[in-house]
Amino acid sequence: MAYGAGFTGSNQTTSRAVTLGYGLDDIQRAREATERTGVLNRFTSNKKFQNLARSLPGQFNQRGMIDSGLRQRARERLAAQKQLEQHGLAAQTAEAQAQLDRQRALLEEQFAGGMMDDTVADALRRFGIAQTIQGLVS
Amino acid sequence: MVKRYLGPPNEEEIRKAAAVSQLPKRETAPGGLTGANVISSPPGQARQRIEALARWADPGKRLDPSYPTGRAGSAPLDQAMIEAIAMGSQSRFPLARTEAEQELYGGPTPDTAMGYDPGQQAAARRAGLQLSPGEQDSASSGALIAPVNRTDLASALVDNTMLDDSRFDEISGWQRPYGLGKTVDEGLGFNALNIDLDAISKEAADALKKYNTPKDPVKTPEQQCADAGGTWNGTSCDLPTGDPTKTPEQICADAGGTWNGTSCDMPAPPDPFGDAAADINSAFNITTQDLTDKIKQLVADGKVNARLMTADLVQQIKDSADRRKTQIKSIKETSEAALEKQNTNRKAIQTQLSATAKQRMATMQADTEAQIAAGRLTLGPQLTSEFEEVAAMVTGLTDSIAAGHEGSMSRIEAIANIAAAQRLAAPALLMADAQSALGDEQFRLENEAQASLLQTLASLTEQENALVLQEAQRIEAFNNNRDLAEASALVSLGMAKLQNSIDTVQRAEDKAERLDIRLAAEKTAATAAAESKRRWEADFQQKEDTLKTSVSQWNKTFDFTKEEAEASRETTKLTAGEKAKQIAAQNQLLSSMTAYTPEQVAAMTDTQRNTLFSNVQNNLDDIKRAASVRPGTFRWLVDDLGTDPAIAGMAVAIAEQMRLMDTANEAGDAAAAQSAQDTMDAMLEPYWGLDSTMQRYETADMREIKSLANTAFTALPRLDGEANYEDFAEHPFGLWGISNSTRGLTSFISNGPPAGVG
Repeated sequence: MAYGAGFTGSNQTTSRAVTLGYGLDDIQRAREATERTGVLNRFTSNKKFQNLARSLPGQFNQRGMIDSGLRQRARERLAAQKQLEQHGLAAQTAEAQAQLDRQRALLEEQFAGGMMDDTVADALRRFGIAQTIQGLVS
Repeated sequence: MVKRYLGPPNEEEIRKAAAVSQLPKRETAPGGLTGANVISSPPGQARQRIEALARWADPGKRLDPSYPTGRAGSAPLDQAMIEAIAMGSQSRFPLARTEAEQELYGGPTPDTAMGYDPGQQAAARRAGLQLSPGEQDSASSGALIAPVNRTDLASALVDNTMLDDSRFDEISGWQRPYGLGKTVDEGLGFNALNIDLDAISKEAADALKKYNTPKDPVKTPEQQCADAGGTWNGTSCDLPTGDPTKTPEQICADAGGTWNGTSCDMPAPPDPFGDAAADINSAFNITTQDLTDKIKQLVADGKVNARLMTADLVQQIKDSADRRKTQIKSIKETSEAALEKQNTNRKAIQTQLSATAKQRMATMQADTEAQIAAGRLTLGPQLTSEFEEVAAMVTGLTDSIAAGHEGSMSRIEAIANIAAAQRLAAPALLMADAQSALGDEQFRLENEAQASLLQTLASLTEQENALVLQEAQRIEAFNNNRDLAEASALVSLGMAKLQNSIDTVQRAEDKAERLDIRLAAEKTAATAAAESKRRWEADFQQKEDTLKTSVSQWNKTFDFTKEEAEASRETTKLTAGEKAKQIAAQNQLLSSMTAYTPEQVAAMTDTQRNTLFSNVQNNLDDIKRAASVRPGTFRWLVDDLGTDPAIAGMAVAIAEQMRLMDTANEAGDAAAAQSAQDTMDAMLEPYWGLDSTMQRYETADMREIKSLANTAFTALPRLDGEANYEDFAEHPFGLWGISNSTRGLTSFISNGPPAGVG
C-alpha cells in the first residue's frame, strides 16, 4: 500500500487490543468476584434463616403455642424476610453484573469505535493526498 | 627678385589650401634624383642617374631595346641623356594641383617652389633668381611665398646663361661623365682638353634616330594625325605625299584612318569610360527581400504551437484529475468495506453482550420465582399475606431490574450504532470533499494554463508588431544606403571623367612644353659647346705658345747651367760661398717641408739637419697617402663653414671615396671605381629616409653630406697626381704645399737645387 497507510493504524490497533484485553480481564475478574460475593452472601443468608427456622418451633413450643396460628404467621414472616434478603442479594449482584456489562459494552465500543476511527483517519489521509494533481508537464 | 612675402594665410586661404592638399601631390623622382645632383654625380654614377631621371621624367619614352643599360660608362651618350641633362631641373607636377596652387598662391606651394627643389634651385641660381637665406628659411617653414612664375623659369632655362662657364668647367674638368664623347674602349671621357663636339653632335643625331616616340593609350585624332606625319585640317588628316612608295590611302590605312577620297578620317578615340554609368545603374539595381510575411507566418506558427501546448496541458490536467477521482473512489470503497467489517464485528459483540445480560436477568427472575415457589411449598397453606406480599414485591422488583438492565443495554447498543453509522458515512463524505477539492485544483490549473496561453499570445502579437516594424525600417535603410551609394558612385564617375579630361589636356601641354624646352636646351647646349670650344682653342693656343716659349727658355737655361756645373765639377770643388748657397737652399727646402723656419733650420747642427732631411725623405710616402684629401679640410668645414663635426666627418669620408673613384677612373680601373662607389653608397645608406609607403627619400642630412662632400672634393684640388704638378706649376717649388714641395725635394735630391734658388 502506498504512502505507508496502515502502519500508524496497526500501532494504534495493538494499543487498542492491549487496552481491550486488560479491560476484559478486569471485567471478568470483577464479575467472578461479584459471583463469589453473591454465593457467600446467599450461603450466609441461608444459614442465618435456617437457624432462625430451627429456633422458631422451640420459641412457640415454650409458650405452648406450637400448634397455634401464630407460629404459622411467624413462619410466613420469616419466609418473607428471607425472600426479601435473598432479593436484596440478588439485586445487588445483578446490579454489579449490569455495571460490568455496561463497562464491557463501553470497552467494546471504545475498541470498535477506535478501530473505525482509525480507518476513517486513514481514509482521510489518503483523500488528502488524492485530492491534489501532481506530475503535470507544463 | 620677384618673390614677395604675402603674410600669414587668412581663413579663406586656409580653406583653399586644405582643398588643394587633397589633390595629388607633386611627384619626385625615385632616390631624390634631380637635374642638379645628376649633373654633379660622380663619374661612376652619372650615367645611371641620367637614365633613371630621363625615364622618370617621361615614363612613356621607349629607349631603344638594343641600348645597353649596364653600369656607368658602358655606352655612348644618347638623346635621353642630353634631354635629361637639359631638363634636369624638370619634375612632374599634376596639372590640377599646379593650377590650384597657382590660383591660391600665385604659383607653386613651398613644396613645389624652387627653393625646395634642388634642380629648380640650381636653375634659379643660374638664372640669377636665387633665394636669399632668409627666404629659403621661410619657404622651408611653409610660409606663403610667391615664387617666380613658370614663364620666368622657362626663360631662365633656355637662356644661354643657364650653363655658365664655371658650371661648364665643372662638367668638363675633374667631374667627367664617364664615356661622354668617347667610346668605352677609349677610356676617359671628354674634358676641356679633349672635348669633341662633332662626335657629341653625331652621337646625339644617332640617338635621335633611335628614339621612339611613345604612343599614348588614348590619342585624339589630331595626335594620331601628327603621329602619322600628317596635318590636321580641323575635320580630317592631310597626310604628306612625299613617300612615293605608298599611296595616301595606304598611309591613311597604316595610320588607322579611313581615306574619304581627299583626306583621311581618323577614328574617334574610344571612350575610356564606356557604359560606366549604365553599369553603375545596373550594379545598383538591387532590392532586399521583404521578410514581413515570414515574420507573420512564424508568429502565427508560434501561436498555434502555444495553443497546442496549452491543450496538451489541459488534457494532462483532466487525465490527472480523472486518475485522482478513480483513486478517491477506490479509497472510499476500501474504507467503507473495512468499516462495514469492523461494524459487523462490533454489532456481533454488542448483540452477544446484550443477550448475555438478558439471559442473566431471565435467570435472576427464574431464580426468584423458584425461591418464592419453594417458600410457598415450605409454608404450605398460608394463613396471612405476609409472604405473598413480599413475594409479589420481590417479583416486581426483579422484573423491574431485568427490564431496566435490558433497556440500558438497548440504549447503549443504539448509541453505538449511531456512532458506527456516522463512521460508516465518513468515507462518502470525505470522498465528496476530496472530489470538490480536486475539482477546484483542476479548475485552478486549467485557468492558469489558459491565462498563460493568453499571455503568450499577447506577447507574440507584440513581438510580431515590433519585428514587422523593424523589417520595414531595415528595408527603408537598405534602400536609402543603396541610393546613396549609387549617387556617390555616379558623382565619382563624373569626377573621374573630369579628371580624365584634365589629365588629357595636361599630357598634351606637358608634351609640348617638354618638346619646346628640349629643343631650346639642345640649342643652348650647342651654343655653349661652340663657345667653350672657341675659348678652349684660344686658351690652348695661348698656353701652347707660352709653353713653347718656356721650353725654349728652360732648355737654354738648362744648357747653360749644365755647362756651368760641368765646368765647375771639372775644374774645382765647391767654393765656400757655393756650399753656403747650397746649404741655404737645403735649409729653405727643409723649411718648406716642415714646421721649421729657414732660420731655425740654419741654426741646426749638421747632424740635426741631416736627421731632419732623412726623416722628411723617409716620410714621403706617408705624406703622399695622407694628402689624398687635403689636410685642414675637416677643420675648414667645421670652423669656416660652421658644419656639424659629425656631418663634416662623413662628408670628408665621402669626398675621399670620390677621390678614389676619380683616381680609379683616371687609371682605367673600373672595378676600383665601382668599389669606391659601393663603399660610398654603403656609407650613405643609413642617411636615407623611409616614408610611410617605404619609399626612400633623401634626408636633409644626406643632402648636406653630399653637398659638403662635393664642396670638399671640388674646392680643394687633389695634390698627388702627376697631372696636377703641371696644372699648378706656376712656381718651381709649387704654390700649394706638400705635393709640389715633394716634387721639389725629389728634384733636389736628384739634381741639386734648381736654378735661381739660393
